[in-house]
Amino acid sequence: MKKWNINELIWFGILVAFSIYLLNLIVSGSILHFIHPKMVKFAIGSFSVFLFLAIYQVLVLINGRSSKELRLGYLLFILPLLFGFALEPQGLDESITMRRSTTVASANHLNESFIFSSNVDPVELLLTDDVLVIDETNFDGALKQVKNDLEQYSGTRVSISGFIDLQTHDQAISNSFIISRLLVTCCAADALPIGLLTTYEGVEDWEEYSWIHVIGTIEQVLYFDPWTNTEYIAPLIHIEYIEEIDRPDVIYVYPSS
Amino acid sequence: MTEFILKNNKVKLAIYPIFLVIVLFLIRLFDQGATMITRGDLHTFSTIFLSIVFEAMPFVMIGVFASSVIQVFVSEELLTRIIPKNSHFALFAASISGFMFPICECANVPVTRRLVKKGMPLSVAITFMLAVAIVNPIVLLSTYYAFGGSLRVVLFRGGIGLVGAILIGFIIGLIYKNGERELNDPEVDLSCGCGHDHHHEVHDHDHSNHHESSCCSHDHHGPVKSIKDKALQIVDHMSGELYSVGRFLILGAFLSGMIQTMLPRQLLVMIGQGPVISVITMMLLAYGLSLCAEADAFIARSFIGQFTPGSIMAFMIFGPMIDVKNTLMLLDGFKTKFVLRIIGIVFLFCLMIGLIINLLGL
Repeated sequence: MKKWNINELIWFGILVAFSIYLLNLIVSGSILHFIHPKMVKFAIGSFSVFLFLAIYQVLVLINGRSSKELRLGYLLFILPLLFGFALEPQGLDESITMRRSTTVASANHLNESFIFSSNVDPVELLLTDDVLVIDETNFDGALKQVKNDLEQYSGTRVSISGFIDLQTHDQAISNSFIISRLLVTCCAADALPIGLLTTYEGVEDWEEYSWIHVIGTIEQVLYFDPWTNTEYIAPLIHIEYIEEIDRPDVIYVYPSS
Repeated sequence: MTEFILKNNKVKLAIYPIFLVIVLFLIRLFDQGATMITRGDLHTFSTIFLSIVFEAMPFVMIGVFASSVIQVFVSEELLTRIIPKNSHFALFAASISGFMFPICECANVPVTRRLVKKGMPLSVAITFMLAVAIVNPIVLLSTYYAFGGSLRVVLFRGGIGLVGAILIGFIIGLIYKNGERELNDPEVDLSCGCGHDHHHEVHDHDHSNHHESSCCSHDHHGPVKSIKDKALQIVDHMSGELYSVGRFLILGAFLSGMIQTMLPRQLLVMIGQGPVISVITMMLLAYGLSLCAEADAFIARSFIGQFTPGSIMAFMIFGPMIDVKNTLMLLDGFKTKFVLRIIGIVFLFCLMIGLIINLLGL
């Protein structure tokens, strides 16, 4: 039996491992923790290529190749496999607010880049019993709508749910915090927190990242954004009613279209 | 000591299990446990790391496939004939030729060198070299998907890349009248360093970029090649290139995840939101990561929440044009002073673009 080339053997192992790992993620649905649903077809494509190359690699192994120095670069390929298998990450969670700027709906467009802003159309908001309902299906569009027409929505009551982000707030506004969700445009890795500024007197009783449903009234206020160090007019919700809700399975929202 | 490690296969083989054990140990050490509602930085890091890899991998594969096909079917002779040498439109034609020939990014330099050697004006060759990595369908496609189906980002990136390549090529043309004088005689025939080896080659060195023969030039294995042989060559090249390109993707994703989760927030805000320092930081990152342009859009995208738009665009323009990998190859094939000048001009151009975008609030 010919001596097998170590390089090719390791590469074969890596190709097979990636094929299995991707297949597992796709079949179990866990792939959605990492990428947008629209991109899953590409992941299926890369699984196929890994499988195909693994099969070809069998041919290479059988035919034998001249031995050469062992490559250390394969270690890099083992890294994602290690992290994936050892940790089984479940996607980004609320703690990303510590690392990324929160887009607080505002009446001017300071924190939106002309080049990079996502194509979201404002959503027509419907009043149910004089209350604007913002939920996970229209979260993104609703925020944009309120932002665009702040004059019109001032004084309106709104019902909204999300998680509490205590550290993004305006120190000048007492008891303020953001009620927030994670917006995923393309990959789960890019999840950006978006939300509305709110104020509630009893906020010290609530824990960071707890999930709540609130009803309150919108008003305009001058908001100082700690991330960009800029000030702008923003909607503020005065909370009248607050209740705890269960943390949903999927905490992402997607751009309303 | 390092030479001992690099030469000794048995030592290298031992590195693998040692590496595995150390990484697993560190993971266990830093894993704050699944009992908390929020799982902490290690999980955030892993999610960012893995999702960049999974998002970008298909596009790297497409790019590797395209360049393998071109490798096998298209010779540089053909490229030289197609790009017009001496017309007014030469610069423009050179800049869009990347559209038809999405060659492997690391093949830029050898191809450019060959073009100059065959008499193409330096300005046209440089425009080609700078444009081909950005203005190519696969890079633009991956940019499109990386930014959630945004045509606008694609147009900006492609447009700025196009204009930049033409502008820089034009400037080079003004400075240097005789392109051939800037060429070096490399010790070994330049190769693309893609890591691909020909399995019927005599002896391949793995750790350097020098093969016995160029891997990205037209293949020279024999006069007649059947379809089956060509197909096998393409697959073989794909496998090799996936390794050499993929490792940079993984490294880049790893570093990107690290930067985003390990740096203290204040530092991140200061670096990321500063209109000038963010641009310079991202450009340095692009230079050091040496990412294939198909993948860097995904890495760029992951920085949106923290870095200014100008810096992200600068990252996406500078990276494909100049990075560590192709600096080394440029130094090999061209005179040092020339290479430094090119890098300087490209750097200034991208810096300006980043600053202007930030200034205009785009």
